[in-house]
Amino acid sequence: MSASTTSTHRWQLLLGVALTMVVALGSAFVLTGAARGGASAVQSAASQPLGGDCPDIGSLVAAASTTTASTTASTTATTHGASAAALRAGLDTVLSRARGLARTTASDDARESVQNLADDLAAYRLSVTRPATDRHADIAATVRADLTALRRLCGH
Amino acid sequence: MAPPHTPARRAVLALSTLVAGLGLAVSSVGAAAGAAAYLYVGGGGCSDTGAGTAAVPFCTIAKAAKVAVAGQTVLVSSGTYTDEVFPWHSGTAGSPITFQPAAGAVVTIAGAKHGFTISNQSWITVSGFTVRDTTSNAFYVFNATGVRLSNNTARGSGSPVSGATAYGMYLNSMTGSVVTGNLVTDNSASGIYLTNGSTGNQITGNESSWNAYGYVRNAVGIDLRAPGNLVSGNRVHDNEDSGIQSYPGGDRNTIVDNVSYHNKGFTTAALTNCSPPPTGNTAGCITGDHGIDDFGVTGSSVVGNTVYDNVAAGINLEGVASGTPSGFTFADNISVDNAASCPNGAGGTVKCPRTRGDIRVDATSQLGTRLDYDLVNLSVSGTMMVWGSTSYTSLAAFQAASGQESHARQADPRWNGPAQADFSLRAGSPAIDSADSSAPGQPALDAAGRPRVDDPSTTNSGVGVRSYDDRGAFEYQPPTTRGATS
Repeated sequence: MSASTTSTHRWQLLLGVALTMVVALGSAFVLTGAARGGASAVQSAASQPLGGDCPDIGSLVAAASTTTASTTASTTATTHGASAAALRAGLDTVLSRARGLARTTASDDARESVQNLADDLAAYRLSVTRPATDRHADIAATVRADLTALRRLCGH
Repeated sequence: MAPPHTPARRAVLALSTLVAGLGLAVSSVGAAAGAAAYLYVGGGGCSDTGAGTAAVPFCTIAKAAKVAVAGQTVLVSSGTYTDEVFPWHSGTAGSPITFQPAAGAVVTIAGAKHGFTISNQSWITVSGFTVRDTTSNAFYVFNATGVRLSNNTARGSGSPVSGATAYGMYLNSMTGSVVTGNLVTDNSASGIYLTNGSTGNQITGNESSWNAYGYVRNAVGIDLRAPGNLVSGNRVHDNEDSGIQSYPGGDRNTIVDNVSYHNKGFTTAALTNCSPPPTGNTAGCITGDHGIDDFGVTGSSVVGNTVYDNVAAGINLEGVASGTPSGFTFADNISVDNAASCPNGAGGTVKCPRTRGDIRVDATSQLGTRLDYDLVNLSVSGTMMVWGSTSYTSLAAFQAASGQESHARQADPRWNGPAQADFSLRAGSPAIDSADSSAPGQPALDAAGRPRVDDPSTTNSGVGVRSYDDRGAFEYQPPTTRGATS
């Protein structure tokens, strides 16, 4: 093997090592940067103000208030076929909206308050279809408190 | 002479350099994760622009939380901090990020919005802090796994005003986590709240007490709106509503070895769902509710609990959809003097205003519900059991009518000091060596972490893998065999 061939091979080897190091450093940068960027994105999301959610929250509160008011007024009729089915359907719609908003909001505050409403609406739905009036009154009071909390959250 | 560079050798060289390069890349990343084992917070000479060393610690826990990575422990010096602590990174299963007071330090976080917010980060341990007077929940967890909250105090969260209330620990979409040994008290919503699919968690050995909204009777010691969790060995008492509650979403929970007592009180505040006494201060409201309440949930075990002196039915199951088997097991519990006597706000007592009985199963929840090996008693005449729409004043009458509880006992459990909340058993207790040790969830240790012991003075009447487990949350420890299993 000639000296020039050996020199060429050494040069190629050094170039390969250098390229690999560049790639490696780039990979490290990308990896650590991704981790930091991911954390930053998550942190940003966790701290996001809720202003953007307030129109949806306002609409949800209005719908929930209307539905629970109507079911409260109709509680004595809830065990009767069509009436009970209509009440449940109305509550299902509101409950679905609350759960959806709890999933999609980026605000911790909104998520918590809407999740509380969803949890209590699920109990409320049961309470109006069961002959347990003490339970119904307790849960209705809780739902009202949830709605108040949501109104205050958005400054209403 | 160097060997010739054949294609094979060139391939080996290329592979070697690639491996070396990848190793460099990995070590570059690992350097961050392999940083100092400890970060320090608080004390003289602190600076949030430093590196958090012992010599120059960070001033705030929040700063440490921003930079801490897997495997690091944040040690906090004594003091009262006003930080809201957000961990910015996750730990790993083998290398969590840990926050704890330095050795001997007493650390309080006060006045922040939350004390700790663990949102979208996992494998975080928080141990030994007092978090008080936060404007929102003292501890807030969202979308996290492998969290451990241990030996903390969460006190005075929020305000008892509509729209300003807060939980002690609010746990949303938390999985595979442990909440243990915490004191959660005097918060303006429920003490510990699990929701939105939080599952596979262990809620053990906590005390949750004196939690109250103040304007609506609704604060619970431990509130379960999520399925598949273990709730064991907790003490829940003097809450505004029930001690432990499973509500829609809270299916298939294992509720064992808890002590739920005196969730009962009186307030002159005007609660929106007030239960006024019929005599005495009729303008005030009786507070409290069940010891353990299950509403509209299925598939849970309520086993080996001690339930005493709550306002409403001690252990309650209602609201299961008609025709749906509840899948509930009640076994090995001691339930005594529930709904027996309530304060009238004028120094006297009245009959309690709502549901009655040491154990109650409503009409739609009977199907698929199994009750056995419980011990019940009332020290005053009243409703002992409710099955469907019928109340029974004695266990015998209930057994005859329902076919349930064939091994139950009606007797004084012989506790050492119920007035002092000491529910350990005295010698000769009918609870000793008489439980079903194979009841679902019945643990091998009692609520105090002591082993099951065969009392030589008592003939074993229990069944299952051990015939000498005791009913209730505490295992009698005979003087001659204390600490020994047989």
